[in-house]
Amino acid sequence: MNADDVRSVLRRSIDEGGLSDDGGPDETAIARRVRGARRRRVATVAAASVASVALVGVVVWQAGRLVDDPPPATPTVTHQPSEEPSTAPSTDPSDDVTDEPTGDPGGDPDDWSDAVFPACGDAFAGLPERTSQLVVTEGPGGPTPTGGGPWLTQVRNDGATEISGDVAYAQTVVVDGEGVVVATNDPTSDWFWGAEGSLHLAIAPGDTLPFPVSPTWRCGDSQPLPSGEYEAYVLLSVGEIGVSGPDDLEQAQGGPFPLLVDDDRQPERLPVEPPPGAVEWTTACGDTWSAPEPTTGFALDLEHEIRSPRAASDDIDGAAQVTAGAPVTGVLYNDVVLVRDGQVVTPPPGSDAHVLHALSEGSRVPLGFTSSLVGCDGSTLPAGQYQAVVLTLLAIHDPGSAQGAETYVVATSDVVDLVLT
Amino acid sequence: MTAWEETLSVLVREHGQRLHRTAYLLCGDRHTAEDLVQEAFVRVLGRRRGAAQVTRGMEPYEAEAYLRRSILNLYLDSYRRRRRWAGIRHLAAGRDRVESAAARTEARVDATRALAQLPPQVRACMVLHYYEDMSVAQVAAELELAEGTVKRYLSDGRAILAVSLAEPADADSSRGGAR
Repeated sequence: MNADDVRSVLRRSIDEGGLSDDGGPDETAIARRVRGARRRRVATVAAASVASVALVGVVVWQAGRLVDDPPPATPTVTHQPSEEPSTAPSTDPSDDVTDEPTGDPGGDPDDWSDAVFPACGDAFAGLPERTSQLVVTEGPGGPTPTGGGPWLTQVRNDGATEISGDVAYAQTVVVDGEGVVVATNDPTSDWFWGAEGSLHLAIAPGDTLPFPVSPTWRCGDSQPLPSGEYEAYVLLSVGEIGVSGPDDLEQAQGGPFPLLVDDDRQPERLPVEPPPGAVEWTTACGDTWSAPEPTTGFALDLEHEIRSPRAASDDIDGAAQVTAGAPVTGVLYNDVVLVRDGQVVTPPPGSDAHVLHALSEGSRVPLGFTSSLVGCDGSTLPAGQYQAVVLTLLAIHDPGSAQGAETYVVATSDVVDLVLT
Repeated sequence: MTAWEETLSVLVREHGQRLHRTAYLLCGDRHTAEDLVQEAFVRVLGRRRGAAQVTRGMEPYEAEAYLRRSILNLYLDSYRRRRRWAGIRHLAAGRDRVESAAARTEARVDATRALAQLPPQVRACMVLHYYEDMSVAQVAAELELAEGTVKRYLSDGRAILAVSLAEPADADSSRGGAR
């Protein structure tokens, strides 16, 4: 087969795919996704920034401040987390929010361990001698299913300052009896880098929080770790958003923990419970609205009111702070629920906005709230009078449930009137 | 319209079709190709630094190369993810979509199915060299491979395609591929 033959195959494939007379990708769909990503990024950067303020001497980087859900036709927009309609000329609001460290990072924390990233085949003699301020304290405590997980460990803050930040890279390192790494994530893989804030820790001094450890894969063939006796280390690398490599990270460490993998065991729900007073949330779009009344002690503070009246094309996109009234581990996110004539008329938010949180009581984290103002069928909501409420929801993974998770309301905002035009 | 939206519009208009075809040749599925292209734009324009680079300091052909590289990385990364997912998917629910996607692949016709026989790195080399008309050296730089490796992949790829396209029709029928 020569070069012309190959080119012919490629042309035929394009014909077969119906792309010969295709006009190219859908610009509107691309714009929608880019816009969503930029919103999430700004919100996440803002989250990292606010959390960092409490981290004196640990990690300091600065991000844009959060501002109100502004009125339409705001002339100039800077440091704004949303893509709110505006008559502002060409300034890109997101471009004004920095996600880079600014100036002196405040000095390296003294209490972090030296970061390590063992790879497959390495002879790993153990963790560095210097103890980290955050310590991963517990192993599985019993046999695990194939893959060596999931299991629940505990993360303890031995320092005098709160540790708060995004976990950019959670690595489980499994070694055999010879101390050779036989299973781990591949730290050289791009896949493990750059995830924008999918795990967030905020642990007060002296506090200990549960933290789920995922299954891992055997070196060589990337199959789930099979039955056997091993030792495991857990490494949680906390760092700046959009990290590009290990040098940008600080690391919590723990191990070695005995790890017994039993192929006959089935994955079970991890023993993580919602905070007392949480209300299970099963309401779906179209259901009758019944206001949940959680008594968790969690506080949801909107940084601005939901603007009304507004066009149905004018997405709600705002900032809020959530203060944990009790220790919590789970996926925490806000949902804007719209109600009309006593019925919920909005679907739940997309799961890509969700972040696993492990928070001490009293931790305060920013959580944005958005709504694209579409109805149960995905079409734009008609003009009219609505009521809106923001719920802070907690999802706890449960492999046995139909949805894969149990969801609870831990906090609510006031119900406000909303007029869509 | 903000700066990134204007940039997006220009890039889609001038380079969208070619990027879409490149993505399709890599993955062999139209919807996946659209997703790859969309995600590449998200990678480039969804982040402040990337967007600033593209909107202010980059020629259009450079932006196209930037996007193409993102598509390549996404394609190769997704292959790695699929390998890992293959190892653990029995631990999770929701296999239906994976299987239906496989069924769709089975239904595809000759040239696309032949391309599907190529390993990801080989396929990337073939597409860049024979569709994007990049030299061996350029392909090597794009994929961070040695030139000798690229030459070997191209040779392997041609051989695999020759065998795939020479397979008798009844071979397809016997494995349920031709419908």
